[in-house]
Amino acid sequence: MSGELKLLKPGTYFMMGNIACVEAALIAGCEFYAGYPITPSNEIAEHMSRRMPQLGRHFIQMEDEIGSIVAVCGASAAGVKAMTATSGPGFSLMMETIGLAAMLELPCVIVDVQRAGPSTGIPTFVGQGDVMQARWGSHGDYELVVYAPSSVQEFFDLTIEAFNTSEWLRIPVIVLSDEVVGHMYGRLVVPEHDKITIINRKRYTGPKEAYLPYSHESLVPAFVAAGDGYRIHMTGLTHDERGYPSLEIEDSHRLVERLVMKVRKNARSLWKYETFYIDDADVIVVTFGITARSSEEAVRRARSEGLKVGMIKLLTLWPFPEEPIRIASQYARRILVAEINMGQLIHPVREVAECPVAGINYPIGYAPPPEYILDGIRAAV
Amino acid sequence: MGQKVVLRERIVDESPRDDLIRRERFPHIWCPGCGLGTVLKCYVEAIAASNIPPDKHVIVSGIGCTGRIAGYVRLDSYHVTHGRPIAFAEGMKIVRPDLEVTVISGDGDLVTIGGNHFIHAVRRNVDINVFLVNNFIYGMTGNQMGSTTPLGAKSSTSPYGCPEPPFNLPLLAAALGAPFVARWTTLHVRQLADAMKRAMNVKGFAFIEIISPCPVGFGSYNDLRDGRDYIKLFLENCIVDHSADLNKVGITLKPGEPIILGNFIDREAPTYHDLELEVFKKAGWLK
Amino acid sequence: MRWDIRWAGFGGQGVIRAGEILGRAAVKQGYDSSMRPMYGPEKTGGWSRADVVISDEPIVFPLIVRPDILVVMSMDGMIRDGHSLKEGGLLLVDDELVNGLVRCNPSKIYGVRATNIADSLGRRIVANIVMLGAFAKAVGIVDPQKLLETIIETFPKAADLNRKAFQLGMENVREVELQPIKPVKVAGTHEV
Repeated sequence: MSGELKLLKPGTYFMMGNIACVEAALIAGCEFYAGYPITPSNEIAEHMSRRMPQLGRHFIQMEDEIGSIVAVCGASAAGVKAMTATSGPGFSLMMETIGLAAMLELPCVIVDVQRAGPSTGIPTFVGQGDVMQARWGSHGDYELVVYAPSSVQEFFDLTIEAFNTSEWLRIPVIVLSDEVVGHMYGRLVVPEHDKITIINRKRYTGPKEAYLPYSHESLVPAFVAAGDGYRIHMTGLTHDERGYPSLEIEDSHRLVERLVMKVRKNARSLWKYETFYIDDADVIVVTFGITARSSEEAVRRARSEGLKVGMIKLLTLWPFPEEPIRIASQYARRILVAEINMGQLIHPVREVAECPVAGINYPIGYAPPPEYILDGIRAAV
Repeated sequence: MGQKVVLRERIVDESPRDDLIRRERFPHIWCPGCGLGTVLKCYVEAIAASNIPPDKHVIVSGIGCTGRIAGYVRLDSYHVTHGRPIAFAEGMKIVRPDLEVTVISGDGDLVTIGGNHFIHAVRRNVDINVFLVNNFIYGMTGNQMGSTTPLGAKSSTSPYGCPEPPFNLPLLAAALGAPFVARWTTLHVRQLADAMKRAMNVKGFAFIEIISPCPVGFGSYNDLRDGRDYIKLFLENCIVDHSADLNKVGITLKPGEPIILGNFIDREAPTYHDLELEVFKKAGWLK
Repeated sequence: MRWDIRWAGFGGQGVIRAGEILGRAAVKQGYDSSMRPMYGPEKTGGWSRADVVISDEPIVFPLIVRPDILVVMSMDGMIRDGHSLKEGGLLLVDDELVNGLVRCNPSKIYGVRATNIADSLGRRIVANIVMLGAFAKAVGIVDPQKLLETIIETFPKAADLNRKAFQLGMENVREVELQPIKPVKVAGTHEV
């Protein structure tokens, strides 16, 4: 009864993005999925419900998205890799608990298949309006990592990456997909499994007396699971290194600083991005997700018109890849931020760019056609 | 004289259940006359008597006065967000069926903000214990009414008397199929500890409603200002009836309308774990 | 070379499944492909569309603005998506259900009575497979054998039925003529 045999075999597939996400999670070692039905993420739950029991792993459909992410935290505290998937309204419901996961330092993966909003919006149409919420949605100071795929292959790759990062840093990691990337079928190449890097959280196995569950000695304390015999305490209250509630300002400072710094200090190794034709570009389009596919086509067409245009596709949205954007902005005359919203990613870009920044915004529920981006580029050139 | 000092030191510094209590965290935050110390005591006694090693016991609690209980028990203990301990416990129990997972939290936490998780966890019959401490009020936030505040009772947000009828929790849990349903007060220490021990050995969702005094909060609004007022109430107004009609065990706190206590339900029903194993078989994982 | 193929009809006709099969067969043949399903909120009877891109180079933009090839399985589909066909593009229709052109100027029109043929096999549900057979014959791009192989892999329990449906689609597709008719606005009309 080896589960390994039932994982998606290496090879070339034509697969839906949401399904690729599930298969990636299984390969990454996800053992618990909790979710609540919501379009356009449903295929993830549906496929999970079929696949998890085949591997002796756990699928549960919870009563709402709050219960889903909380159950994911519970499973993670018990030592297993766990995830949930949702879309706009459900993502909003999860916000409080994303803060809990950050505070308790419970690794988990949240997939948000973005749809057109606000509110119920258009469930079957695409949006990219959750960029800021993904980063700032829960109250208080914390940092997490947000990846944004623009293809089925990237959805697969970044889901595995999300598990790895969450295990490495003991943080919630969000895969900020979108309706098009989720529902789109595309070519997927699955490498040999032993070529896929899998990271598991560092477990503590030393003497019980010496164990501090929230030690500040390193940025990421070693983990123990429920039932390991260490009898730990975890609380969403501000806590000291023992995990006990504390009203000491010093404890609060050290804790919050560590929660933030474990992401900030590792930002460089978390930044994932791809550049296209930026070496001599006067205008650079910064974009992500499905909009990156429109933009790349637009940039190619602009080049064929003789326009000096380049593009940076961000695969990591948070921590924001400041350095590549700043450096690009020192050579370009203008940066354009293309996104399916009224302007969200443009803010961190503007914060670091040393040249003027403008938005190409397309808020109507479709992926912008390349022509639309091209018009924006022509206007900027 | 010297003997007296030794006696005092022994009382303060040692407890037969020190292995289960985080003594370094005492004194606790609970008010004089509060019943939570008794709940804590009963819980650790039940653990000691449960025949399940303490390392396998896990406690999850939410927010509020009762929520702090997880922090005082020397077990793997999780103090999570408001209303969510049951969902957290479900995730934990599903991936680690060998753990004995107990949720201890308040009425506001478990059946008001967290009511949806409560009803669905009972329906699923996840094999966890839920010990709900009902003090009829939101104590920690300043004595606001909640879904268990008796009709007409006063609180900081019901100055004219609570305008809503409260939950009848044993009826709710039983109607949803809970295999074990009990209600005791913090005065009924032996029965409560025994019920907790039984709950730990019951297969499936075991529910105990614990009626607990809150003289500083609820009591100050409703003529129960002293812990002794509650003891009198529990002594004089409680009836133990294990086979009570659960339709009639709603709490009114009116004179002549007693609080009915007992181990009302103890039955077998397939647990979430049992049913998941069936799924594993159909999926081909298990033969 | 890149082909943009839009497949339009109503929910329940298997439009999206046809698009998926076409894309998968293309990938098997070594092409890059993407397929974008879209549908209205209705489970059946609402609008349904599959946009399939097939390319011999890695696909940059995976969506379709103006298809080179439009496959239409219902009059609603024509009314909604007829206008999107590239000037001089290729049109393939179920000519029993689609009886006119709406804001659409194809250079060639192929027709097959897919629903009728499927009915004659006793299973209306295979109309999309008849359509795939017609597509393989009239349009090409993907090798018919590869396409049939993919269909059979997708529905291993109904191999014979689908093989027949596919064959009948190939045999019965022919060039047809359709006249422009007055467009009627339908719900769900939109332009990308």
